[in-house]
Amino acid sequence: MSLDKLSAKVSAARKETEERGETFYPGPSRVHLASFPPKERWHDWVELDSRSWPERVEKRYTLVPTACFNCESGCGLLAYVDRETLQVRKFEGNPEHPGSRGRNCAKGPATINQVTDPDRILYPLKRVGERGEGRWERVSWDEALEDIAGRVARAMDEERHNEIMYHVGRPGEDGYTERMLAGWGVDGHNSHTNICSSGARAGYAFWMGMDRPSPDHANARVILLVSSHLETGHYFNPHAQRIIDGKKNGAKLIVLDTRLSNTATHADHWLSTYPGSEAAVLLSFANHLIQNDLYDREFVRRWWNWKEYLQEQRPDVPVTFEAFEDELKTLYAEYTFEYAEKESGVDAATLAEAAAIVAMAGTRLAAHNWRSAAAGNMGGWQVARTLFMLNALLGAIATEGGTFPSAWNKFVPRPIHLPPRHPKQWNDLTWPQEWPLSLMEMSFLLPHLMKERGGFIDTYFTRVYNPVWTNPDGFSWIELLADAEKIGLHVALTPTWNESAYFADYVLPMGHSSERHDTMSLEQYDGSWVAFRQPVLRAARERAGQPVTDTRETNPGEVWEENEFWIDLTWRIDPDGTRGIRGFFESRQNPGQKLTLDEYYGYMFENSVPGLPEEAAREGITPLEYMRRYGAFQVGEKTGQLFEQEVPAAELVNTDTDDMDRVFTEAPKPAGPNVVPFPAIAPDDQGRRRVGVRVDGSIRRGFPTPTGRLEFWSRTLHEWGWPELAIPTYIKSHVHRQNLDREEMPLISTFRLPVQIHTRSANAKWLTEIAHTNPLWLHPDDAGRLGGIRTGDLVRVETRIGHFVLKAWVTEGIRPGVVACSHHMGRWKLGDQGQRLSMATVGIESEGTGRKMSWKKPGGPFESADPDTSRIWWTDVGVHQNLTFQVNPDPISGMHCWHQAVRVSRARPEDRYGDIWVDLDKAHQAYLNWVAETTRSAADHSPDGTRRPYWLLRPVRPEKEAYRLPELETAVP
Amino acid sequence: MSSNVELIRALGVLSEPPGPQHGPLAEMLELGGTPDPESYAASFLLQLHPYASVYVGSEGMLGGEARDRVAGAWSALGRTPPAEPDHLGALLGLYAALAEHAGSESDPAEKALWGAAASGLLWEHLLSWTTPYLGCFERAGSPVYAAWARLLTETLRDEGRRWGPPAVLPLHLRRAAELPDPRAAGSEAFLAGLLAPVRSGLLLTRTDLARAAAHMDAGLRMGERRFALSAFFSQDADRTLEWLSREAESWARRHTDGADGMELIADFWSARARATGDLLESLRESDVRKFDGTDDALNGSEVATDARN
Repeated sequence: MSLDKLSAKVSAARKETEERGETFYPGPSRVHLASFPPKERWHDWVELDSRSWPERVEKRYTLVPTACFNCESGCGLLAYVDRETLQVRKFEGNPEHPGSRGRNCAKGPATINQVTDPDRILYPLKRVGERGEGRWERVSWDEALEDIAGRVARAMDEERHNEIMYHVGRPGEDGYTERMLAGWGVDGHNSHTNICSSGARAGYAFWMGMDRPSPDHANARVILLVSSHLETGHYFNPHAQRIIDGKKNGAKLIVLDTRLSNTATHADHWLSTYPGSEAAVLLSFANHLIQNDLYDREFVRRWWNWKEYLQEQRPDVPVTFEAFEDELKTLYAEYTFEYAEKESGVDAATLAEAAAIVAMAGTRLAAHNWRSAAAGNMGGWQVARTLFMLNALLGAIATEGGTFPSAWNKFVPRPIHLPPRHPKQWNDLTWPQEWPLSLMEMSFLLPHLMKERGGFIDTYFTRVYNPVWTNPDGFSWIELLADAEKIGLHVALTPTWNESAYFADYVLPMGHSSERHDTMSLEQYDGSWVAFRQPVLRAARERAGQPVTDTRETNPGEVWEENEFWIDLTWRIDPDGTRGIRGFFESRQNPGQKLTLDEYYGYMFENSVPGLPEEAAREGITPLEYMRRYGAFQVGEKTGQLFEQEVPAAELVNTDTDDMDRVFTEAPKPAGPNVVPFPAIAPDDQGRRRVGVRVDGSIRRGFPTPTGRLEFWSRTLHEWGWPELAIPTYIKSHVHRQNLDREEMPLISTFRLPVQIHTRSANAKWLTEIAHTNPLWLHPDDAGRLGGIRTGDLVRVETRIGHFVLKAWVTEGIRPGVVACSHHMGRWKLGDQGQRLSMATVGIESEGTGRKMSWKKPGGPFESADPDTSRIWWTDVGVHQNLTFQVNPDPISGMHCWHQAVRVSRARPEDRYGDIWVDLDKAHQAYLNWVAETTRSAADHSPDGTRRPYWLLRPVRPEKEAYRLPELETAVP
Repeated sequence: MSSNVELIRALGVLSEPPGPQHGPLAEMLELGGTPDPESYAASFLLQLHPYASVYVGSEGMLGGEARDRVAGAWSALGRTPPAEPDHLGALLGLYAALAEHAGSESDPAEKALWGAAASGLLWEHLLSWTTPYLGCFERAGSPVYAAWARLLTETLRDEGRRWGPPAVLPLHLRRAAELPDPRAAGSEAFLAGLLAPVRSGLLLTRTDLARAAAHMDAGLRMGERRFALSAFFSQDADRTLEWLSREAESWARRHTDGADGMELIADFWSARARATGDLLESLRESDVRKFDGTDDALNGSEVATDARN
C-alpha cells in the first residue's frame, strides 16, 4: 500500500476513534516516564500486579479521580481501586487535572500510607479522665453529635455566639465552613493563616485588593522567587513544573533565600540575603528601574494611584505624572545597590547584575513570595509589597509570563445555598483591636489574649489543625486547652493523631483525600479550574451499581467526611428550623429533607461551572457524573488583563464619576457563578456601586481597591496609624542586626522538608523514611567560632523564652551568622496514642512557670498489621522547636514573625537530645512587651470609629454595626 | 501539507513501549505482526536506543551536547523541550505537528516559515541519523520492527524529497569529532570513538559483536560493548582489527546504497566509515604494542581487568 493510502487509513481510524470520545494515540508522555491510562479505559484498567513478579498476573482496576489533601496544591490523584476487592491499591496522578497535569510529588502517592496507617483513628472517641491523660472511650456518632449540637444550640439561644469557635488548618472546600458559620450567625472562624501566609498576602492586598499572586512561570522571561518554591512553596508541584517549563524556554531564575535550598541550586542567581533584608534588595532593583527610566511609564501612568499620592502627600507640586516621576526618583534614591549590600550581605555587583536581568523581563516577570521572608520577619509584608512593585513598575501584571492576581485565576462555584446572613457580634478573641489591619484572625495569640482579657470558649472545634504543635509557644496552648475554665468542650476533627487532639474532649475521625468531598480551585497558572475531591470507594461502589448515601458506608471504620458531618450537626442544632439555620442545609428537591451531597454538587456543577454541562452532555452524562469520572474541569485560560476591560454599557446606569475618576452605577452587579471573595468596595453617597475607573476617557474595570487602581500609596495604612509605611518601603526586621545582642543569631524556622506536610504526614511511612529529622544548619565559620562543633554534635539553642537541644549539621548551605531548622519534624506523643512512625514518646514536667519536655522513648520499629513498621531503621524523629518560640505578631499583617533571636552553644552535660525548656511567664511577658512596643490599636488610630477598614477581606464578615468600636459612639459610615 | 503526517505520528508511537494501541496500529500499517514487549526490549532497550544523541553525539551516548542541540530546537520553535527531547517518538511527533501547521497555514509567509521549521527539524535532527539507524533493524531479530523501520525509512525519505535537501550538512554532523588515532589519543578514546557512530561511521550493536565473536572464534565477554570489544583485542588484536576493517568497508557501502536524495548525509556517513577503515588498516600494518602512551592497550586493557574485578 502506498504511503498516502496508509496515512489516510490511519487518519480515518483516528477520526473515528476520537469521535467516540476515546484516545487514539497514547501520547508522547509514554516515552517520558509519565504513562497515563487513556481515560476511556479508566473503568476497566488492566495492569500487571507488581507483587506477583516474576509471574505475569493481571490486575483489573477501576480508576477514580480525587484531589490530594496533603498540601494546599490540591493536585489531581487517580485512585486505583481493585475491582475484585473494591479497595484502593495505589494512587497516581490524574492527567485530566489542569493544575498538576498528572504529575505529583511524593506526598500524593503516599496517600495510600495514610489510608492504611495502622495507627489511624477509626471511630469517634470521647475523653475519659482528665484532659491530656490519654484515656478514651469509643462512642457513637449519634452520641457525639447530640452532645455537641446541644451545647452549640444552647450557646446560640443564650446569645453566646462568640463562644463557638472553629479553628482550621488548610481549608478543604473553598468557603464551605465560612458559609456554614455565616448561616449559624457565628463570628467564630479562626484560621491558621497568620502563622502561614498573611505576611505576603497583606503585601499583595495593599497593592491590588487581591491577596495572592498567580505567576505565569511557564511563559516568563525572568522568574523571581523569594522562597524555596521549587521544592516546597505554595502550590509547589503545579508551580515547580511550570518554573522548569519556563527555565527550559530560556527564562532566568533569580532566588532570594538565605539557605541553599533545592530551589537556590536551580537558580541562575542565588542571592543569599541576611534574613529580613529582602525588601531592601527588591527596592534596590526597583530603584534601578526608576533611576534609569526602565519601567513601563504608560502602565504606571494609567494604573498607579499617583494622583492621590501627590494630592495627599505633595500638595506643593503640580498633579502631573512628570512630577510624580520626579518624586519616585527622590523617594527611592536611597535604595542603592550599596545600601542593599550593607543590609543583605550580598555584594552590590551581584545585585546590579540581578537587577539588570529583572529589567530585561519587560512584561514577562513572574514573581512570587509566599511564606519565607514574608513569614519570618516583622515587616515581612513589605517584602511581598516591594516584590510586586517590580511587576507594577514593569507592567507585568496579568500579562503572558507576568504575575496575575489570584482571584482572576480561581473559580469558586456558587453553591446551592449562599447564606445572606452576617454575624451580629464581633469576636475580639480573633480580631482584637490592636491589629485592625491584620489579614486574618490573630489565631496564634489565643492563649495570651484569654490570659490577659479573660473569655470563655464553650465549644472549640479544631479541624485538621494542631495548634499545640504548629503554633509558636505551644506550652501556652497546652495550658489553655487543658483549662476547662477557658475551653468548655474541645472537639478535634482529624484524620490522624496530633498533639492538640490529646487535649480534646472528642476526637472525631475525618477522611483523607480519598475519603471526603470538596471542590478545589487554586491559582496555579493563567487559567482557572475546578477539581473535585471525592470518596473514591463511594464512587467505585456507585459505578458498580451500589448507591451510597453516606460516606461512612465506604470509609474505613466509622471515618466520616466534614461536609456530611456539618450538615448533620447543623440539622441537630436546628432540628425544626426555628433557629433559622437548617434551611441553609436543606434539600430543594425534597423540602424538609437534609441536603445530600449528590444534590449539593449536582446543583453546583449543573449551574455554576460554565462549560461543564456542555462538556458532560457531549459524553452523554450529567455534570456530576463527569466530575466523578474525571475529577477536574478547566473553566477558562488566558484570562488576560481584566482591569483593562471596558465596562459594558448595560452596567452603566445613572453613573457618576468622582474626583478620583471612580465610576459608580445604579445598575446592580450581575450575578455570576464564581463567588471567589473580593474586597467590599464602598458605594458612593447615593448607594451606587463602584463599577470601574475612568482611564484616559474610557471606563475600565480596574482593581478591587478603594481607588480602583494599583495602590502605590495606601490611604488605609496612612489613616490607620501607619503613614510612614503607606508606600512600599523597607522595615528593619526584629532580627535585624541592630535588634540582636552580640551573641544572638537569627534562626530561620520557616522552611519545609519537601516530602513532609507540616502536621499531617506522621502517618506516611514512605515520607517518613525519606525525611524524619531536623538538624540545625550551622555554617562552618560559626561552628568553629562556637568551639569546633561538628556535624552530629548536640547543641543547645536558646530563644528568649526557653531552649531546645538538637544535633548540628555543619554546612556551607547557610549564611555565616544565621542558623536554620525546619519546622517539619519533632512530633511527639504523651503515651500510647499517636503516630508511632514518627513520634517520640515524651514526658512533660512542670517546675513553677517552667515547662520541661524530654524524650522517654525515641522512634523506632514496632509491631503492627503492617510488616513494614517492624523494619523502621530510624529512631531520630526531630525536635519540636516551635515550643520555644515567643509570639511575634506583626503590627500590620498580624503575621507571626517566625524568625527567632537565638544563642547557640555546645550542649551542656545535662542536656539530652530532644530536651525542651520554656518559661511560661517569660513567654507571656514577651507577648505583652511586643504588643506594647509595636502595635497601634484601632481605639487610638481608627479614623472612623470602626475596628477595621470595611473594604479589607475578612472571612465571615459580621454586620456593619459590629464593626463599630465598643467604647466609641462615632457613627459607622 | 504532507499527506504522511498521520502515518509519521503512528510510526512515532510505535517507537514507544508496546501498549494496547500498538496492535491495531501495526495491523493498520501492515507490519505483519504485533509488537510485543520482548521484541521491543530486545530491539530498543538493548540494541538500538531510539535517541538522536546516541547516533549524532560525539560521545555515542545519551545526552550531551547533541541532546542540548535538539532541546534547543524545541525551544527555538517555542515549545517546551520534553524530558527526552531527542527520543525518536518525540521528534516524529514534533515534526508531524510542524508539517501539519505548515500545511494548514493560509498566510504564504507563515506557511513558508513553518515549512522551513519542519524541513529544518527533519534534516537536522531526524534524517541526519535515521537512515543508518533504521537500517540496523534488519538484523535486530524482530520482523515487525524490521517492517516498521523499512516503512519509517521510506516515509522520512519521502518527506526529505518533499522539502528538498538542505544547503549544508546538518550541524550535528558538521560538529562531529573524528575518530581518534589510538597511537596519539590512547586506546580508551579509540574504543569510545569506534562505538560513537557519528565518529566512526559504524553502528556496532550487540548482535554485531556476537557475529564478530563467531567470526573470530573469540569469546564474547558479558558487559558493555566497549568491554566486549576490548576483550576481543586482548584475545586477538589482529583479527579484531581485521573484522572491524571489514565492517567499516561494509558500512561505507551501505551508507551510500540507494541514497536517492539523501546523498549529502549518506556521503558524510560513508566518508566516516571509509576513514575508519583506513585507520584500522593502518593499525593492522603497524605494531599495536607500540601505541604511544597506551602500552598494551589493545592487547588486554585495564578496562577489561577492572571489569573482571
